[in-house]
Amino acid sequence: MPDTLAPVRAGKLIIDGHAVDAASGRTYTTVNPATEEPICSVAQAGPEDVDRAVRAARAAFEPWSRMKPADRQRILWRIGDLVLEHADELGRLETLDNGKPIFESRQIDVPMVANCFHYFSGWATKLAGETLPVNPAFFTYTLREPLGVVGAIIPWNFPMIMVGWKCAPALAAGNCVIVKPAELTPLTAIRIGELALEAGLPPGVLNILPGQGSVAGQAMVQHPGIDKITFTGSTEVGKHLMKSAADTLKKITLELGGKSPNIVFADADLDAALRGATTGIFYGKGEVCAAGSRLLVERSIYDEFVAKLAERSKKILPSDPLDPKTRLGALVSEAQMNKVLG
Amino acid sequence: MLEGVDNQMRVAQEEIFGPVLSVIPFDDADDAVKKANDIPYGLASGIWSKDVKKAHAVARRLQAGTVWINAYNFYDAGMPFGGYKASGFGRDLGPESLREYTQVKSVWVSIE
Repeated sequence: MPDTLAPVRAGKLIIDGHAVDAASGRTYTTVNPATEEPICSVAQAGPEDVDRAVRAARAAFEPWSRMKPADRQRILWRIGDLVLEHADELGRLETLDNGKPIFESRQIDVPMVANCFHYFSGWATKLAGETLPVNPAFFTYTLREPLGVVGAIIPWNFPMIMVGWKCAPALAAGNCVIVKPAELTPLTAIRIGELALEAGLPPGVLNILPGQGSVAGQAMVQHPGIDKITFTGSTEVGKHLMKSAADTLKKITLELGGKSPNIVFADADLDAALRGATTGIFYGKGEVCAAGSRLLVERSIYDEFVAKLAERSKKILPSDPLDPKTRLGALVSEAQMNKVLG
Repeated sequence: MLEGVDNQMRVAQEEIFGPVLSVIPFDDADDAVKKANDIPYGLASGIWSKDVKKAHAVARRLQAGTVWINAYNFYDAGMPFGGYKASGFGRDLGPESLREYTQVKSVWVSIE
């Protein structure tokens, strides 16, 4: 049986280079939103696991950050290669877990993850400070140094892309990372964590903790052993996170919601604009922070453009996400569907 | 698809996070910029026009972390991505993202 059709293995936490159960023994079931059938059980991280991961990451930090940049570069490049070698498997896992069309998972998301590791691997050898000759009595220069341990809290709409976006630059700069994937979509992050170990990433440098935002995520935000939180998700959670992070003076990066305008002028190539308006809202089922969800159309072409767009939209019907021809998949959960339907 | 939407309506102001599109008419470039920016968010934006001057001029006036001109939803590891206004701060991707994961130490060495 090709690995792309194999049953999905139960998801574990990855801490210090090992696949482990949660300290509490807790698990939950991740569900395929297209069929509402269970995919597999997943270990559910709690505060104790966050603590274990922080200890592993702190121990791994010194050797990792002092490794020769060229060696870090080689490992990160290898992760990108392994992601591409496992493209079919990762694409299928993402589609099962998230409901997005396999076309998107396999042809867009997997290459983007590899793109991140390949691109940022090059930066490992190019990060530098500056010589700043401010006073003849001194030799003055700056060093650009890693922060330490970075916590990445990532959303369910781009589960594997976000692993690439957050981890590749953090690792290239010499940080260790603890990833908390979204509770709904943990499978690809776990698999990439395994591939990273296979690529030669030292144990503890990248830890993966599936679990609830309000439990594992909150424990990460409050943990004094984590230096920075990078978060992609809702504006509401972002505000809460910013307040919580104040207690330990954590550095934070927030990539939050949007309601992005897509502006069509009367002098546009209208066929191209129609395609752009369509992908702007239907790509990723519209569960995309940058979705072009406000279409602004110049009044002189408004009626014609809207009529054509309506015609085009009618042809885009949700169907089986695993069918390569599908362009609109299943919303990530029943709760999200009810929210969208208002 | 909801057409003829007023920019002040809830469907035009709040993130729905699903395939629901609000379509809003505008009169000219000034009106388009005003309506585009009249929102707490500022993550991304798109401009469709064959007029190079107008497209670049409007791009400068949009309060958004990404502007796509005659394209939408393009990403690359080398191009920064992140928000203006309530869409957040800091940047993922590109050289900018490395600032998010590093800190600078200033070293003074007396040589006299």
